[in-house]
Amino acid sequence: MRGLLHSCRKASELLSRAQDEPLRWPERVRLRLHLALCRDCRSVRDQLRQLRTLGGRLFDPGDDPPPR
Amino acid sequence: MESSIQGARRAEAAHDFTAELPALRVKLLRHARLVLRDPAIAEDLVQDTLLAMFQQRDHRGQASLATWAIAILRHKVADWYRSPQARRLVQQPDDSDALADDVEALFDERGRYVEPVAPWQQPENRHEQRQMMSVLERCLGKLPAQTGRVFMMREWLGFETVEICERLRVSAENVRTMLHRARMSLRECMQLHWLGAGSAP
Repeated sequence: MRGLLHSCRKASELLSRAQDEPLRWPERVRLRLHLALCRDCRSVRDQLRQLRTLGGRLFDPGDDPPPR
Repeated sequence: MESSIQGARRAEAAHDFTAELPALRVKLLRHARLVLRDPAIAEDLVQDTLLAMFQQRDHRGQASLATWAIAILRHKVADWYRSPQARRLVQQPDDSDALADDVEALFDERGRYVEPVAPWQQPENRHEQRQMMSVLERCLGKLPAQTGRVFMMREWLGFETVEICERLRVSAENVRTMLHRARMSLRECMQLHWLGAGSAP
């Protein structure tokens, strides 16, 4: 069974890679399976997503009041 | 007659941000240094940004000063990374090995997380968002220089990995490794320093 599923370490590499390029089909399936079974990796996935959102918005002060 | 003078004064005030320039320059320099990892280039690009803001002051529209300034700076940085003179300066070796041990330490011998990973709360208001941003900026500052550059090129400038490979003369595999290490280090750093990270259930 262990051979079929990724380790969390491997899953973290795939989660990172998935942010930059499409994964190959077998990798994507095994990652999905791992995520379905692993709460830690679901948390990491969400954190990586938040990092992406924040990274794009860096330095932007956001909704400052409009100029007078 | 009076209302047209007042109107003219108001228009001038809207365009005249010279009073805010010193503070803005300080902020822009801090951001530019974090992105470029080179104080001299940062200085140059911030100068260019301020100049462009002055030249385009009539075209600013509704944007707040800081938002507008950052957008201009972002373009300048992207252009600089794509320029011939950047080549020599940015083609430096991968320094992400410094992070490798800490990333490895997250996992046990079977590749599972040693500590449970708690999800982060969404920031609930503008203040919490800024706090989270500011922690991220500090964490970014801790990344090794070249690794930090790669992360910023990808996430802030939005460069595709293919282009990062080209500009920095690194392999795709190398870029993947650097981004993985950067991201895992950043989330770990956020976990430690941001209150919204909380603890595992």
